[in-house]
Amino acid sequence: MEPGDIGSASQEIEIAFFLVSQDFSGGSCWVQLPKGCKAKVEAIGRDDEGGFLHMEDGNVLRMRAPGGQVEEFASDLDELLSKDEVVIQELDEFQTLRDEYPVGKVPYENRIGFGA
Amino acid sequence: MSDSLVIGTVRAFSNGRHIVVGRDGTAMHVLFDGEDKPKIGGDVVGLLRHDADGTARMTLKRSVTDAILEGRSRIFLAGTRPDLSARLLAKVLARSKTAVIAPGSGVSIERAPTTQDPDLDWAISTFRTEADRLSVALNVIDVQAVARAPWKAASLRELTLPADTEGNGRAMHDLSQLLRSGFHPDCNRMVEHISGLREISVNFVLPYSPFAGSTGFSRGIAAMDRGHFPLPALTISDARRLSSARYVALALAHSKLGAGANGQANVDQSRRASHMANCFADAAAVLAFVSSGGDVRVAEAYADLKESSLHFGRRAGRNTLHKDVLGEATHRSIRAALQPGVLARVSTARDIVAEAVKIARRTALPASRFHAEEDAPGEMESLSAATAARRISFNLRDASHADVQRVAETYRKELRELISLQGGSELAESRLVTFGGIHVPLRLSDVFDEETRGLSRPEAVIRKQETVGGLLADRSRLARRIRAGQSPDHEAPLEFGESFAP
Repeated sequence: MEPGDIGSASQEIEIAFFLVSQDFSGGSCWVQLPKGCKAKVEAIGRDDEGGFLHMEDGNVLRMRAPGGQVEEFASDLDELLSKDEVVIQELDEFQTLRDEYPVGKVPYENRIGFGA
Repeated sequence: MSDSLVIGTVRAFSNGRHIVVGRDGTAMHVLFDGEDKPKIGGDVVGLLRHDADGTARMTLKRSVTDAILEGRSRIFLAGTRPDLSARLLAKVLARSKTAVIAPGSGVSIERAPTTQDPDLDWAISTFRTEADRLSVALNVIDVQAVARAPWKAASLRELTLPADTEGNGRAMHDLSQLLRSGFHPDCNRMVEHISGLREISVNFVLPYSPFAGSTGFSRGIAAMDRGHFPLPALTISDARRLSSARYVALALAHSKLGAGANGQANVDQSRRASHMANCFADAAAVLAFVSSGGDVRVAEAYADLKESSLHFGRRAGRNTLHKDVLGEATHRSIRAALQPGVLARVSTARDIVAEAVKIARRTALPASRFHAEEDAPGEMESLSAATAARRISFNLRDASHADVQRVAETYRKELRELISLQGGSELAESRLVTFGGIHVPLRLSDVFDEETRGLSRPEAVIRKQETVGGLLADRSRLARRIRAGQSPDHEAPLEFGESFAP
């Protein structure tokens, strides 16, 4: 997959929140995967439209800025992505914790169109 | 050096060190602190720090979230359904430890184990160990940070954490009402029914009003009208400490007043249950205050203020009390807590809470007092309350000009301190003008105007003044409004809490 190509199938994520530590080198992102989604999260990134999760089956799950606050959301995401350890906490449709998928530090140049 | 979050697997144990291999393949020789030690081959999450000798030390955590929530963190809600995100986050935080919550920059919330507010920090530190032991997550709102921050109803949703797992937005509604009414302190709980079981948790604790000062605090406690000035020599810090300790302790009430050892009590289910919780909280607050070096005379004055509410809180021309006054009459519990024998028995938070439970059960008013449609004080209670009222209040209505001037100087001094405590924040100062205005005693409004003249006047205050001016100019419209008994919604001023004016 080339940079800029983040997959063809794209879905919105309904539930997401981030916890970013100000003391430690870690952050976590809790996301509820769409109903029936079996694939694992492979990577997290952001582009001009907001945040996204890249799934191992090539699909992309998008996170939108709440209340249209795109710029604030982008800087929030940058704060999360600058951490050494970013942990994706996957939840199924019943909001049960499915897995914890750790993602390492994401370099800035890989955030736009971040792919496999 | 800051701590690092490590996620990895323990591969071996060698020379007294565990060898932890991170997800990126890095191997670390680590000494594990605490009683919990990892097993070889097990996955671990922990915080890694290097001590002065350069030894890598790690503390095991149950999950990444536990590790992150140990320190200061920022929380962001995203997704297309921020209400559901907030609900999920609430569930996560409901099982976390005590923390202070404040609005952060952008769209975030800041959560920290401590606060810069010394009085609030004292109250949280006092009860933190007991709250953690009881697994009660106290999400205490940093009122000073909220007072200085811009907020609107939409941005409050995220602040009411852990809250609104009922899914009806009640906690957010309650919080926005409290903030609009001048930050009236409160402890807000939720009751959740899970598979037939009832689980009670604390939505938020609003510990004190940053605009009330000691005069406003005392008047609120005593249900005192504007024609009286409270005399107790409470400092603003005393008032904030007593209020914070009281509401933080109140957040533990449901865990401590249950029927069995592990049972929870729904302290909001009846007026008697609520009164019992108030007795517990006030006894605990006073025990904490005095046992940490607070002035006993301040605690005694607190009891007098509570008792005098049975005098000031009467309905005009009747011998019945305003709503909730009897439930808040906890003077017997406070005085019981001040007995030397009791004070000698408390040294830890656990002792304080245990003694407060015993005192509440022994001194709370009987259930029969809360059965009537309208509460009424007994004859002896009325006499005693009137005596307490005389001890702790000064009648401004009938006082000479010289006496009023003496009181005015006390009030002016307190007001100056209250303004300086707003930290120069324009938003906080304008809110002080709005909300502090409702605590201005009779014949002292000139003092309030003089001292707040240099502060920024909020638009809401200007609009309200225009509304009042317009009403006075249009007498027939005013008469119609009085007849109607309530103002139309579009002219309703900010909601200023309950009035106890006799």
